[in-house]
Amino acid sequence: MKFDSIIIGGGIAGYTAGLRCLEAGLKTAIISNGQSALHFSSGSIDLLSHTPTGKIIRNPEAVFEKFAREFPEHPYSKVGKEIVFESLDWYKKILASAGIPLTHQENGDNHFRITPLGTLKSTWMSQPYIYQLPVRLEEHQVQRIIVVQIDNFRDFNSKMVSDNLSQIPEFKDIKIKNVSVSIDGFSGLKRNPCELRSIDIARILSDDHEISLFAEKLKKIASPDDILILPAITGNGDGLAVLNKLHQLTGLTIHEVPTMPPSLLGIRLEEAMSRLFINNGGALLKGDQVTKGDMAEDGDTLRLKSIYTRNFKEMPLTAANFILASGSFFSKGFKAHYNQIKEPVFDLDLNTIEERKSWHQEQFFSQKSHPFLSIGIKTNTAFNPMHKGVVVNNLFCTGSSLAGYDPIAQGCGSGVAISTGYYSVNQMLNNSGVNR
Amino acid sequence: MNIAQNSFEKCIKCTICTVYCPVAKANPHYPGPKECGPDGARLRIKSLDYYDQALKLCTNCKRCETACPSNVNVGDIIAVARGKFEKKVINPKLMRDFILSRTDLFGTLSTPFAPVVNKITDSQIIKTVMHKTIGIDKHKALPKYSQGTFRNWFKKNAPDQEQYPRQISYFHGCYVNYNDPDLGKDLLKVLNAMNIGLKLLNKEKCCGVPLIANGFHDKARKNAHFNVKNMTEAVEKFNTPILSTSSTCSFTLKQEYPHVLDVDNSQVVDKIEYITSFLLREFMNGNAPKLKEINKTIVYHTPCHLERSGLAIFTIELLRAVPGLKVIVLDSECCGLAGTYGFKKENYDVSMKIGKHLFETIKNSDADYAITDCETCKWQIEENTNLKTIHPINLIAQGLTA
Amino acid sequence: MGHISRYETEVLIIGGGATGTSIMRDCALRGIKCMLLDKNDIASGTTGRNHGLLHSGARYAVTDSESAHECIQENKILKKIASHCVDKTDGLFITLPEDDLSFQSTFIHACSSVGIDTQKLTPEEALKLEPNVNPSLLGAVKVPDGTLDPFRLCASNVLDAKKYGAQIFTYSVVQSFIRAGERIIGASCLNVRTNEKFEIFAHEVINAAGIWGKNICQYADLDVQMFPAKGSLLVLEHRINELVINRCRKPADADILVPGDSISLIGTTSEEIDYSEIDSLRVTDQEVNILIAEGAKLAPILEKTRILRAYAGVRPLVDVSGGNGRNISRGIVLLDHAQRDGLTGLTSILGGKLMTCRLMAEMTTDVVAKKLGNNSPCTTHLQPLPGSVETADKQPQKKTALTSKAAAYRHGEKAVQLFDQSAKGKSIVCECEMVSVGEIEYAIKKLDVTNLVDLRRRTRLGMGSCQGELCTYRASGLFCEYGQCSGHDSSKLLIHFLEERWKGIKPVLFDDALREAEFTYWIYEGLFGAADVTLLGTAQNDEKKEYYEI
Repeated sequence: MKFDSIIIGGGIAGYTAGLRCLEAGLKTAIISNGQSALHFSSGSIDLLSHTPTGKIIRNPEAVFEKFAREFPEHPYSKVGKEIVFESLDWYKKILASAGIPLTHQENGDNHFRITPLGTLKSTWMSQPYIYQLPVRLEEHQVQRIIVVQIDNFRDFNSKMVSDNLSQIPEFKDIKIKNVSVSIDGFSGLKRNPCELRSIDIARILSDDHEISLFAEKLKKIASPDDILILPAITGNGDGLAVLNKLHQLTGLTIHEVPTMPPSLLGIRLEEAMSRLFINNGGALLKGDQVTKGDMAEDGDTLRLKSIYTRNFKEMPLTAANFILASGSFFSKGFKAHYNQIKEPVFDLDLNTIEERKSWHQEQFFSQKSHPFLSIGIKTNTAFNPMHKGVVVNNLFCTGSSLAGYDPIAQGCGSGVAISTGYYSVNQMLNNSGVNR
Repeated sequence: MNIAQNSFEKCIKCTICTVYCPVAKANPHYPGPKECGPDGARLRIKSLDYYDQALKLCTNCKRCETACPSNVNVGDIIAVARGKFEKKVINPKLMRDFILSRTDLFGTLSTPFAPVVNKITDSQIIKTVMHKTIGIDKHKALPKYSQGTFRNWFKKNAPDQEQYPRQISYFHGCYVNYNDPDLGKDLLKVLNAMNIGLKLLNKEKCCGVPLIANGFHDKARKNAHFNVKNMTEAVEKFNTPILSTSSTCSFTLKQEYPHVLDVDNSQVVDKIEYITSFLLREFMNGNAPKLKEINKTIVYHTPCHLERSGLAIFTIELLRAVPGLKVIVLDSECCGLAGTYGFKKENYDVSMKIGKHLFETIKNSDADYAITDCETCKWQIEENTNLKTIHPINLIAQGLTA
Repeated sequence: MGHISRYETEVLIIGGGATGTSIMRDCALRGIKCMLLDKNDIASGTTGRNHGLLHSGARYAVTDSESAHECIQENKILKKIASHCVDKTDGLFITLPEDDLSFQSTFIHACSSVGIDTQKLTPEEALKLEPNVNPSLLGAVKVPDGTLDPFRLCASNVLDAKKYGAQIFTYSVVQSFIRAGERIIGASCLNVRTNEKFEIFAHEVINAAGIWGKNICQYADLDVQMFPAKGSLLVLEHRINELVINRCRKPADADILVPGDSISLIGTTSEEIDYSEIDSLRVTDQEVNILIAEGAKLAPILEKTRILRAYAGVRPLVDVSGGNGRNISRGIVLLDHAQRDGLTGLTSILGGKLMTCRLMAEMTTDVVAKKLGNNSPCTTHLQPLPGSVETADKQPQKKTALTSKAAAYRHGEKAVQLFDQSAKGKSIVCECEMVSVGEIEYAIKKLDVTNLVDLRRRTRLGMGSCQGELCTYRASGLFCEYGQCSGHDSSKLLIHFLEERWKGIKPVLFDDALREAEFTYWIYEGLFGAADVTLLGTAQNDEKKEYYEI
């Protein structure tokens, strides 16, 4: 089968690249081996919250040039400020067209979101029902926070949220309250209602009657000036419609907090992107795994001619260009063997670390970044990888397949995914004259 | 050999499968694929006390496997466990499960008397009786039998196939043989128009999928051995590909045999192919039949087992290659029937709930046809949307010029 | 310094391992008042860091018939009194092509001479019993090996002893002995969790601190030479064998594969270490390598099986020569310091094995009871432990929730009846090991649980495939409800637990263990911001913040 471009990986980087390719009129396929890590994500877009040296970044735009000079190996430094912000703007438009309006601070600051442990995480662009606390926290306008405990729901604990929030010095004078709320639909279930996951509750609450009963209860415990912290248990596959309805019915300031897996906030993003991709004519090969590729010499470089998958067996998939968006270990973009880490499909060169005992820090929650999180593929400035030192000229790497950054410690996972996905397609289009 | 045996340990407990399970979506009584599959498999090694009767609620659609980022054969694990540990209770429902899963036996019995049988199973009284006694839901119409089988028709009426330079072997399955011989006839037309001849296997039995779904694994395994033997003969004698027009039969012959039934099909597995991937390859290699324009709009529904095979793309591309045809690809989701599942009284509501979004989308689509690769999806869509639902081969046959 | 609490008792036991808790129970059953002290949780030392093998004694039959004899005696007793801690799997001693088949008859002969039943099997018979055993085996001998859950055993000892008035102090260390001339009359102690000091006065003090017993003796200015030997093991993701598999040859490294509950264990290596290293054991890459390679010889499937974690324990070997003669005993060493050193009031029970813990307790309590003038006979070999009292209705009913079945397996039917039987009580917290809210409530309230690591030892929470990924958040929240913890403190318990899990994951951080760890890190740090919890409440943390500005 023949395509103009084939993208390996269906996470945020892969879909960004896929949607951009379709926009450019290319016949495009995405191959995804199972659903992506968005299913456990906050559904906010992190841009950059810390430098690799651990300093706090409040306004990524303001410090971008300095950052790029100081950390030239970071993917952002290769993409450049203009394209990074252009890509985020584009992403915002695309998602809005799919029914998910994302917003950020007008001055370009990061903002804090509240976590299920009542700590604060810095991010940059969020969904409508994330209350954006100022990253300069002393400027917050919060008067009272009500944390809702859904009765018998295991995967969100309001007491941990409220007790930890009240330890934050800037919240010293705020009233923080816990309130239990039951969901009527739990009664009468044959299955143990205490074992429902966020997604199961979302299904119950997609019923109009259930949501209005729930709204009535919420109205009794909070007023519009409060921040009402709700676990993310509403608005599943149907996007935000249920949550909009809840907001309409209550008039309350809802702040959604992700739960233990699955995280509905992240699922919304993936579903929206996936639907757009199919509606725009993309070919989505779900649940398939790329097993190998055929490379050919092309001058001093290599060219990826075709790839093979588990389902297609010996039938090759060919394309002018390929994008690798296969993620890290979780998504099997890398495989850690007993004594070495490898990129399993093409055996691309990695910035690997020899000794296994140096892959990690002593402490799990170390203040220092775990080295395995920064392991990735070495690339040139166009994000072409190398195989045994030789550049592969029509393969482009994106997102967490790239070396040189820690998505969690630096708070930049989704931002890097979007900007490198977007940038790679630009590079591909520039190159395509040569490659076709 | 049997992948399901070990793949459970790859599960890293991410819970993604629970999001994509159509049963968990519609039936809050089902604990979901994670607990029934990999979690359960690990505990069942320790003690069979951990076998949960709720496993029978699984429809074996395998959407959990398509969604799994860890390559766990979740659906296979559940199917294997059911085959090993499900206890059959002797009651009228067992009789029903027996009837629903013996597609070839009842096909053979019914086709000679098709008009009578069809009339009987269509009568409201009989439906009510079946609902009350053996638990076939009264809202469901049992599949209609054809008068005479495809196999007999082919032997008597098919033009000489040896005249064609290339041949394929056709696994027609129960549906084409007993319910819809026209699909087989359409395939014959299409292939012959491409200068390819069609052979039948010496003999074939039901692929076994309804038997697996109803927990009759021993019988399914017998069928599997029988079919593998006959397919092997065909491959050895004629070296033909073995094609199927049922996305589920081909999936079963290729994947369920080794994964669920532990039947070795390695000698023939690479020869078995679902029809659309074969056709699309021929089309791309320049061997497309001449097709007239079909100025119609169709909605395409991806059956679960085709989704799991990863081959839906071939049907979609094949349809896109039909001149004049407007193709709308629907969200890939389960129609709810899942073979025999939705016929059962106790599953009917869940089945309808699973399919609700699909039915509504189709009803609002203004399409001329729905197209799908699976016979049971076809029944479910036609019954719940009133839109004529056909197989991709039916459509291509419509476009043949001569 | 505030008020120092004072306690009085007849016997103070130092060490809450299998031996210490067995002594506690033995004393309590004989009507001797006692208190037990451990610097950590019960079963947190060597007791909880071995194979959990219920030896038949066969392993020692050829080399050490005395140990073998003790093992088979205790094997029979434990099967009766601790049935909920025991899985009667049986064991195989297999001969591989590289082994000497003639050893088999020596082995069988040695076994029968100490009373261990054996059954010689052909390779086919062995494979039928144990399909995953190395198919190239030349022969096998079946013996009555089994598995023994040391955590449950200790918890049941304590539970029973408390019923008769005994008291336990976990997370409490001895800081010094209180003396009256040449007599020890008690100990000054510190609770390391609360930093509270307290004193326990006792007629007799028993040092059952295992390898740490040398330190305890030093507090009494006594010298005992101990030679710590590190033994490392790997935990496999699931149960790959139904029978214990041993090699039919002289004991060596990594030659026992034990099916422990829902997992299998391969071990152990053996390495002499310096005494100063006993609290900082590390499993090296090389040990992991040896365990996999040698383990695969017992069951080839092991090489392809996911590894969950690695851990190491210290064998408490004692030099009984008294000097530097290095006459090291693997057997039981009972030191009556009145006789040995002229110091009354202190008895040390050292060496020995998990298998012989009850016997060691009986021997020690006999000595101490005599000193106290107590003539009651030992009954620990007759009276079943709580959890093993009722074995009649072992067959769980069809409708029973899976969590109740799992709990009955761990605590016995009777205990499960004490659980909260509501929907909430039965609901699953740990999905890998089927630990319910009710079981956690019971453990927190009745089984001296102060944190998630203790909870793990009582319930198997977080011991399954995901190593706490799904259950840690849920379970830590329950400490707010049942353990009088604030939400902030329970968040700290969460971190403490995941750090403890991390210790065992690090040595095997490759393949799926690395995937799982990455996933867990995404959730707890990426999504939940857990690392910040430890910084919260420390007022100065704002000043540490460094901003990156132009």
